[in-house]
Amino acid sequence: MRRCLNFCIYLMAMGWVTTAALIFAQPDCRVTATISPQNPLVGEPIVYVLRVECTRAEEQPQVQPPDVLPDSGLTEMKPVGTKREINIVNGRQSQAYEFRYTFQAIKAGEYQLPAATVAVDGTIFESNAVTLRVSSSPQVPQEGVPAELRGHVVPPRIPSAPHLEQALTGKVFILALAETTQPLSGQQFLLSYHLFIDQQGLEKAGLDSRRFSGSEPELPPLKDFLKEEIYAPPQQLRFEQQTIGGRRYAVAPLYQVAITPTRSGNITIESAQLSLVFPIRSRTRRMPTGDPFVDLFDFDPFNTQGLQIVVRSAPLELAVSPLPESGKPTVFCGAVGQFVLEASVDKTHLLANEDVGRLRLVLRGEGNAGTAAAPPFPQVEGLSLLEEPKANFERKIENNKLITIKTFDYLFRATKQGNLKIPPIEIAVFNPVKRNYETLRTQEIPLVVAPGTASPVLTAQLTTQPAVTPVASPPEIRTDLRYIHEGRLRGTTQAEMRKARIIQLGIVGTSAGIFLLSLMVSGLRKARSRDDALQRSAKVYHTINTLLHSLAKRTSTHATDECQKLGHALREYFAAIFETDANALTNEEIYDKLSAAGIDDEVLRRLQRILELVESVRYAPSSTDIQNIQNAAPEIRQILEEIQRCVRK
Amino acid sequence: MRSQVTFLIVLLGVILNSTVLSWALEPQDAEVIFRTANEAYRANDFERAVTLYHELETSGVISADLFYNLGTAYAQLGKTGDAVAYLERARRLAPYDKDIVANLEMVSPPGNTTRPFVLLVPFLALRDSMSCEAWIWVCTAIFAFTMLVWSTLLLMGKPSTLSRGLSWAAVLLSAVCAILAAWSYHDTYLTRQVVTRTEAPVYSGPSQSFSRLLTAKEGQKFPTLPYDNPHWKRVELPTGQTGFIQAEHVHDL
Repeated sequence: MRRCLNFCIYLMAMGWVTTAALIFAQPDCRVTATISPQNPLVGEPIVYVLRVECTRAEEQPQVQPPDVLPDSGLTEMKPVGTKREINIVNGRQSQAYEFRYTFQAIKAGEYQLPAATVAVDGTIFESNAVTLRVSSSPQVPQEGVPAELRGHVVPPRIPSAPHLEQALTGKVFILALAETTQPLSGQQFLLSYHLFIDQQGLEKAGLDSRRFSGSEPELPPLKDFLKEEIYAPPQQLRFEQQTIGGRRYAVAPLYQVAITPTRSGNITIESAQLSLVFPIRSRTRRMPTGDPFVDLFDFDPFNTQGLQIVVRSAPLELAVSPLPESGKPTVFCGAVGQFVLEASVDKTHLLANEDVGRLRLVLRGEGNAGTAAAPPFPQVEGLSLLEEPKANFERKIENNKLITIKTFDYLFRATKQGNLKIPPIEIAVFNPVKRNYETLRTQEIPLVVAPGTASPVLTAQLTTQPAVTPVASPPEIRTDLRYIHEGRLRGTTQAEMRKARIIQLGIVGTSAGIFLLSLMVSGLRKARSRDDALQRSAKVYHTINTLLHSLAKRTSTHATDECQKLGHALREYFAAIFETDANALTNEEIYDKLSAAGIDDEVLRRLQRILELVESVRYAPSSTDIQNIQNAAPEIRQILEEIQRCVRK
Repeated sequence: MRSQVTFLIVLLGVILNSTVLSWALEPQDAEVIFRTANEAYRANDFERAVTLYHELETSGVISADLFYNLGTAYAQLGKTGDAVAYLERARRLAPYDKDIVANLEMVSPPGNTTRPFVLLVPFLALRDSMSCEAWIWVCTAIFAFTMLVWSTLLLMGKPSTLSRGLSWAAVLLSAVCAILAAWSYHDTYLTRQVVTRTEAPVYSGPSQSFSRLLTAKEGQKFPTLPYDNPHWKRVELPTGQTGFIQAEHVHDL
């Protein structure tokens, strides 16, 4: 028995110990922060990886990444993903979490990222601090790069073999070229990216430069620009041979875009990058060892083994200047570039009120002609514009330069016969080469207008050509459509609609005015009625007081009459207060209204008793009742004073 | 007081009557051009009919009949985008006209018309029983009537139960009419874009270098969203996304 008891106590103790161990056990965690790449460039994405390894963790760790101040030169860290691993070694379970964040450096320099804080099951852990060295442009070794390309080439990234990066500098890279590095705000220019591969150089490095594979290029977002894509990244690269500084390169266009800065100041266009995998030539691969297992695992029948190289372009620094405000003409159309303006008409001989002529203005040149607004049609007596000008926009590349063409078509009709002239039309543009505004003018265009056969009213009926662009031969007549509405034209005009709105507003205003007027009249009436009632009540109150005084003296020989008069006066008094007729007022109405006016219930009860007493004297006078009224005279006065006070409130 | 009310009613009547008279006035020339255009349509000369109808439109005439005929003529020419644009303008002016609705449904590409929620159907039918302008007039008249009733009640001093009921009914009616007028106004003057090209790409940003969200068909309508760029229009796509379409590919409604 005793042994059994000891065993039970032992079991309970063990249970408590186990429970306590489970409750109070703290997780054992290791937090490591790493960064990739270690020496990034300005604008290059940087990945911050926080690895949390725990042996006993019930919940997922809560992570606070290092605080980065807004003006520190680094952008805010944005989470990009979480990974979780569970490892069981010898029956012991451990968990590892990886938290990834990405950010960028805005300016070059050395940065110290403080420790990240991680909370695991209520326990706080801290990671190591990380040092980051950001350079504005990569340190390119002078040797190995043709002189023409120095400053425009950055070494590739080779994650599996960083030691090869220097050796391959200038052998495979992306060249970013902007038409100008000092554009004006609003000036459109070309930005091109080309892939350069020095095939001989790569062959020497043991790579097969002709059979490589690649991913989609990652292009800079160009947030501060409006962009119009000229050449999209192709599915297959087309190489041409080009010799630069005595070195032959295979060059393939990657991307071309016409960009327009939307703000002035210094703008950095970040690097474009492309991941390529070059096969390693078989002669450079490891010789067989003679070990059948090693050789078997190393066997690569399809030569899939390759070296991944991330080729990049150098970031481009642009200094964008704003357009000068001084000397800005009023007819400035918004176009920046070198343009010519031409005007032409489709016919110089017209019939008055019959023919429709077309004036075409063409703004053409290097720049953003697309933003140009249509100049107004010249005011010429005898020429009337039929509709708003129609604009058309084209762009093309000529001699590696972006040429934009904006066309405005004005349809007009001559309404007067004779020799007319379309005067020169002006458009002001900004010339970035001359750095000033210039006004472009067209030539004067003479027109000969012969008398037509149509009257000005029915010109449209007699027009030999349609005013709008000629339509292609119409398809067969649709019979499924409902027929047009014939008969009288029911409609209105903008002017009539405006008139209707004014009338509607007038009606609304008048009726609202009448309502307000009525409200005022009603208010005045009420005020006057209230004054009358007050005067009436004061008068009756005075009568009551006189009667009460007389009754209280008990000397009157007409006590019965006076009691009856009191009853009548009290009713008159309440009728005056409530602005109603005394004959139509019942006792119940008096109590209800006084109660609603906030008179105390006790006062009301007393008033009820007095009114009943007065009523009984009025209809069946008895000496006892009269005496009671005489006794109650002070009380009546007191009640009336109470009511008067409430009513005044 | 009665004489005052009578005077006001007479004044309102005169104002309304003068408005109706101003509506009835039609320019003689417009009538002639309209008739000639209809004759051209009857003779299957749709191009000429379109030119003449446009002549009227540019002269400032706002008419459901004109826009209906113009849209129908465009439909005959196979220009679905312009046809939808003008028929839609006609529908806004006369939503109760069955011819307009029928032709609009006939020329609209699939997906342009959405079936309304079943409980909304009677309210839509009520709203479309009159044009927006008519609703504004009704709303104005009922408002004026309500104001007059309330003014009379105020001047009468002690209104009867019947007159009180009448006044509250007028208030309710004017509120309902105001809601319908506002709804009709919103539907009429909501800016939309109609595609006038056979195919118009819609991009995710105001440039062709942005990703293409969809290719709109001719005649497809999109609500316009505010955006200040003469070359691009910002529109709301049926999926709720925002897209950008070249201004020259669409017609403003």
